Amino acid sequence: MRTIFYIVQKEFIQIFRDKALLTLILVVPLAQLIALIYAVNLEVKNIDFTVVDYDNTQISAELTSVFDASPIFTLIDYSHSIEEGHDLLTHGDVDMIVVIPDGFTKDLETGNSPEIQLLIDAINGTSAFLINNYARYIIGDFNQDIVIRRYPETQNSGAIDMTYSYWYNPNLDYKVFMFPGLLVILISLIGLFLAALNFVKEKEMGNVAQINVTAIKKYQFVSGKLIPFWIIGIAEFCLGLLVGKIMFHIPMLGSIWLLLLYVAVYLICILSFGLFLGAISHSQQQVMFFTFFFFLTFLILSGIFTPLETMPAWVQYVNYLNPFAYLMKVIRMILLKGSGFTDILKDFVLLVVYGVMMFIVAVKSYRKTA
Amino acid sequence: MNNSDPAIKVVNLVKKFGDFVANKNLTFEVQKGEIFGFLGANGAGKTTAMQILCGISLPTSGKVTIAGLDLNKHREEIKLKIGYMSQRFSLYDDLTVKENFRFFGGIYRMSKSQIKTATEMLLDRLDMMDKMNDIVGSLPMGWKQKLAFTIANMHEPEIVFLDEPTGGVDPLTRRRFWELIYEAAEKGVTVFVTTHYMDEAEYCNRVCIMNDGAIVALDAPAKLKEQYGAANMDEVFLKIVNRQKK
Amino acid sequence: MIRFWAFVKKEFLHILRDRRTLMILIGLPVALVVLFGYIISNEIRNVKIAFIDYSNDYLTAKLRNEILSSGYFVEDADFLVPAMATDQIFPQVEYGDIDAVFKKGNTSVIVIFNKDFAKNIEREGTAAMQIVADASDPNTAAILVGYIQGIVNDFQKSLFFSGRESMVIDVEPRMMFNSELKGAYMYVPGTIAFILMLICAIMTSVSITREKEFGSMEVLLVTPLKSSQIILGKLVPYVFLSIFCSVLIFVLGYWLFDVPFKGPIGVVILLTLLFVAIALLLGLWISNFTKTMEVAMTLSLVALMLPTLLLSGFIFPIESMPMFLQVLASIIPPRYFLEAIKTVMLKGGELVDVAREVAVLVFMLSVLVVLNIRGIKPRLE
Repeated sequence: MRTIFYIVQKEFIQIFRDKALLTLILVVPLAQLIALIYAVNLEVKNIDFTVVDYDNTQISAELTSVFDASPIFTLIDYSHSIEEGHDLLTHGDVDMIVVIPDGFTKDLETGNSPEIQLLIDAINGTSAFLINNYARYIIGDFNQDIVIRRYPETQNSGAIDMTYSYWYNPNLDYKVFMFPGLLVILISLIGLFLAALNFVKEKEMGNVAQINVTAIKKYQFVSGKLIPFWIIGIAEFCLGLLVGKIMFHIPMLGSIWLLLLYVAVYLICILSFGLFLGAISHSQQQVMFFTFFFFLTFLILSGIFTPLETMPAWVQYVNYLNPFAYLMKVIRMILLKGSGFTDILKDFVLLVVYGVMMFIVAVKSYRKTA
Repeated sequence: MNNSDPAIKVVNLVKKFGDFVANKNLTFEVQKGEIFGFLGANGAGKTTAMQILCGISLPTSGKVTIAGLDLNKHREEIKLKIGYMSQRFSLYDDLTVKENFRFFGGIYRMSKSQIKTATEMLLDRLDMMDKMNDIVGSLPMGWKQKLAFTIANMHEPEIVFLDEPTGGVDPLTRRRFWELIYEAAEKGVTVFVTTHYMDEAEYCNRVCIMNDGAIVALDAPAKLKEQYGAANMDEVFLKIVNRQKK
Repeated sequence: MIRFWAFVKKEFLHILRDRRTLMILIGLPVALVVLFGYIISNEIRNVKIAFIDYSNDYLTAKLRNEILSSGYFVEDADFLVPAMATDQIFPQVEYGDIDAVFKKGNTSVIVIFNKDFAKNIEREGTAAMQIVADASDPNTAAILVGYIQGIVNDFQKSLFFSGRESMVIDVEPRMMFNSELKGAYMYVPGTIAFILMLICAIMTSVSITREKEFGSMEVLLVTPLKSSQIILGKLVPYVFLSIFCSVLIFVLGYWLFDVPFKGPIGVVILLTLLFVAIALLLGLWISNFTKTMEVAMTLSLVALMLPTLLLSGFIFPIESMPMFLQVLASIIPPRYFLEAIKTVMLKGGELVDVAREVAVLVFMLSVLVVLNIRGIKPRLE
């Protein structure tokens, strides 16, 4: 234990002496958290559209204005032909073209099932999906209005009164969703990059040779490297939570102590992973790219901005080996929904097992001999 | 351990990196309290051999006994009995003198009070008490080397390994450094030193000259000079190496 | 010239010798394309749903069946118990359980039918139901509610419009440029921007800083090579490497995910080269300010990679960002590269369609050339 203490003490002195590194650890991540929460937004707030109105009647004009009046759709321009609208779509000036065919009103009145065409820019599939949903909803409402105007007696026939409520995030605020995700990024960056870089730097500088000729145990050295960043990680996490609470009023329903316990285990896991990468790399440049690779892969698979349900089934199995996924899921459960210990028990046990395994791997991969 | 036992005993040591043989069948002994020089050009295999003796590189084959313990079986116990200072300066540049002492003392399992007394005593002897709180990186090279040597001896090892300890400093500073080595040897510490400065070889009790991974000569400097009819070690070395080439 | 090529060769060897870095440089684009392509889809399937059916009549059974047969939802088995002595399975959630159900984290949406659903429809022409969605993921919640609304609307139409089906407005949506809503369409161009930035900007700034840190820059500067040749020699290998990686990504995208190449290929090449040049000069420019590799890496990461990932429209739409980020987004080159390349590749745009983006990129390039010419002389203080 005393040996570990001496290493921890040394690491802390070094970190606090390097002002550039200290800023990098403490200020940059928090600044990022504050700025990025506005950037990582998959909401569809403002849909620009154009109308090609071949019908040119009062009804078709009404439909256009119903669209324009909704808060998410903005009419950019009327187009005279589909080609003209298509040009706007290609240039990215609009996201959707509404095509009202000639004879739309007539078909509606004579009961010939008129048709409206929506041309949606679908390169971003999620947006396209949401746009389609919103547009159909508006057209459906409009349709019902027309029928009721025509046949007032249908007012109440066969209507299902559907109410919906969004729990835990009634305003569908994307920030609430992304904030926990960004916290995961924040402490994982520290966990992976800093620990790995620190280890390799000591190797490159030749100091490790001096350590290797001592009788220090491998686990002591690895623990000594891990503990400082573990403490920094937890401190950083608490700071991040504070920022979320004060600046963004992120709901924090569950037990913060439970969350901290989980994060403490997570950090052991991710720091061990970083130290493992450090142990198998020969230069700072190499370790940089290694960690970069794992960081991105883990992040994409963790479901940070796309729900795991949309991913193929095998991803679920891969995610048993993805540390990020463990935290991404549970931090949202605890913070946003107030899940308790029994709710996260399975993930907790798995994470503990993974953390212990990873620590052993890190210890084993650190070679005192060449 | 018997007092007459050698401090280091190496029998048929071989180290290969793939096809490249860095150490060819080395066999030698170093007596207790001896200053033993390991000489050779760059790439002769000195550093490789020393790293094996320190336990940071594994031998391909051969038997090594350090301080009476078998290297293959007691690697970590041996590490408590040795000190090491490498050619790449290995104190932490961003720690102060005192912090370096404290760190390495702690690693070598010295107690807090032991570290404190040792630090003060050793710094006093080096006449560096006023530098206690200076960042090591800001000190001149010669001072750093003296510090590194002192710290390598701090836990009172039986043997110290010095890997080209005086690289990159002027002859006067080197001279002073050797005074420290003599002081240590007088106290019974065995000193194993690699160097490519032939004048330094003169300071050793015995030297071992390596070429192409093999030992080509091993004796006291005076005897080697006599044997090769040379005025200094420089000549001895050139004669040996030239003969090898033929 | 011979001297220059000898130098380029040396630089190539440096890159090729570090196998691991090379592996990552080639592995990363492959992994990213595959991950983005296979994993990020926009279709939500098999989301767990639970029902609280206080009515349990023929209409709610039919509606439940409609919802489940849509393919989007599966009933959460944790809350089902077979009724005694029948084969029927009844949902077993109570209204007060909703919170507990969501906290377990498996069920994403709960549909509640009020009492006497069918009776009310028959007698009063209206009945009530409720959808409760776990909106801790707001987009998914909105999409799920949208799905159910669609299903219920269709169901409703059969009730409401009975006898007046002909007055239903058919909506025919056409998903332009990406009819299957594939994630790869969006991410292949983004991955190219990202990888080019990584190879050109980060590798350049790091490798030049490395020469400075290890003092080999002085050695190079005393050789008869002109300093402009030295810089150029350092850049040439990365040009090749980045072109290789771009081709790799294009081919993978085309081959695995049928990402099309609708526009003229010459314009795509022009855009790519333009962007490579900009990224290289950015890396070069950054190396003016850095003395150690650590700082060079961190600076490139924070100043180049993060914006490319987050502010270029790669993943997150720029229009949804607040003003200050939109302003920031408008000065980063990858944004224009991405917009242009999407227009050309996916929408089949011609050079004229991306004239604005090309103009902005050319302008940025010239600014960087000027900045670097100024920076090149006092490279060694």
